Amino acid sequence: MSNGATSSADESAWPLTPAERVWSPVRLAVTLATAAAATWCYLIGEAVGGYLGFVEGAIALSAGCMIGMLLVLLAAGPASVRFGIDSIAGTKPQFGARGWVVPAALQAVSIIGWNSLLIIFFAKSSIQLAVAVGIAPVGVAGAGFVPALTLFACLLIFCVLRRGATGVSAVSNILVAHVFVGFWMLYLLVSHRWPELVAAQPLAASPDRLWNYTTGIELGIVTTLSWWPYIGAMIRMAPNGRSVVLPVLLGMGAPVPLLSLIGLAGVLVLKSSDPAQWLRTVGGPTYGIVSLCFVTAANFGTAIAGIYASAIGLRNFRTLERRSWTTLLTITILPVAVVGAFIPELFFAKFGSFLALIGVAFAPLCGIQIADYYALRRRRLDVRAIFDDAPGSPYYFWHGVNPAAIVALIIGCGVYVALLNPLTYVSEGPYRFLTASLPATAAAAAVYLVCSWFVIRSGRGGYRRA
Amino acid sequence: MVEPSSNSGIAEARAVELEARLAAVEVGSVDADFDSVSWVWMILLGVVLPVVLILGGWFFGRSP
Repeated sequence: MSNGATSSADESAWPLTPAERVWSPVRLAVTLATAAAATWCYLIGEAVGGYLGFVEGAIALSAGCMIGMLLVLLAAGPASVRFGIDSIAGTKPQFGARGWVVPAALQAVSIIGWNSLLIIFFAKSSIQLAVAVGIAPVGVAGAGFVPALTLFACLLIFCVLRRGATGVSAVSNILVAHVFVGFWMLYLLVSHRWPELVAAQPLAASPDRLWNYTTGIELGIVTTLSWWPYIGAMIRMAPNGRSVVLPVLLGMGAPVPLLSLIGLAGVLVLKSSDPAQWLRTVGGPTYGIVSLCFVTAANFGTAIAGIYASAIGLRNFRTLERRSWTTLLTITILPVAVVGAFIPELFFAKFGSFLALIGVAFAPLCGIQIADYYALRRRRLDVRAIFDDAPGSPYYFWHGVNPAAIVALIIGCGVYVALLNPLTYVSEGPYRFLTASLPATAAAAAVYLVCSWFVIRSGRGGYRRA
Repeated sequence: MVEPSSNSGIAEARAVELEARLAAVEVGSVDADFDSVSWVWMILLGVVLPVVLILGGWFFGRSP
């Protein structure tokens, strides 16, 4: 893309025309599955394995993932499938012509944070792989190879994403193989250790069975809610809603719980969620190498999709709208490269907590979008207003910000944290019956509806008055 | 001092491109989010399946 008027459509945040939205359901499903499957899958499985046994954990996690995926699809889906825009542009009707920077900031911090972690994981597993196949000496991890490999990964991602969404899809077509390797790993563990697996008891389970079960569901919901920042940039490449629903629910919603079972099974039977470690135990060094290939490929595919989505989100900023795609990619990748090069271990140790707190915001965000689109706007959006940030435009509200969305977001986050501390998992009130994400979604939606009554009465927001 | 007019030309050309895109997506976008088949799948996979799983897991999923 150049600075000129003509640009590759999938490198801009502008609407994609019907002629440009050519991804088939299979192509979208492959891309989403590759993006969804990463190291976090066995970290999620490990978390669930602290509270639930294998069968209960698998069921609770699967149910939660499908609920969360539906919420994300209902919230971010309509604007993306109708107008070919990304998740961030789709928040302008709710947050306003300037207020969209709030979800944009959440997206940027969440994606850049997660991708920094994934690329550090990528570097670490590459080193383990090199040691396992004998091309690097034992102890190489301490010799500054993590920063070097992180920078190498950033360079590779940069090269792939020079081709925009086409690059994401092309790499996904190759890396999707790791999803099947993951299923094979799961089959190995289940088939070799089934009696132990069903008998294994979780180590950190509460005496309250309902609390444990609800926490398994909650972990599934909050996991797939965190796909909100990614999804718009992908589904806008598909031509319509029908070609999006199954790829999202089955391509993105289903692989996460299935691959999380690798971590769940590992932590229950072998007390380790790291597949490289337990596959060596089950099948010897060759299986360990296969598993390291899986981990390396998985994180690389997800990081590519994440950085692409983040770059498209940043494109909504007026100052970045006219920058070349190369410049935008550099701006998006640079924080990841800096973290990986200079503070990988510190980031690895501390940033997970911050990401957990950021993740709390996606449930209320979905509630706000669902309430606005289905209840208030009755499925009508003005695409011109989305790209008009002049004072007086329909989505300008007050100074470009809709206070109803900001208040609803804050209260929704407050409800979540009041019900469940995302860092310690100490819960309060009716959490054990309701989860934390669902009440936070409902509370944000309710507050948004009430506050919007004043917005609509003032004649702002482009709402149709009854 | 050529740059201002050059920038203004680029801005104008971009406005034309954006306008063309908006015009293209406005056609046929009314009520074009999810059709009835999509809703059936969403209800089945996002509501019915989780409810069945949750109830099944609660009553039959417990480890011995």
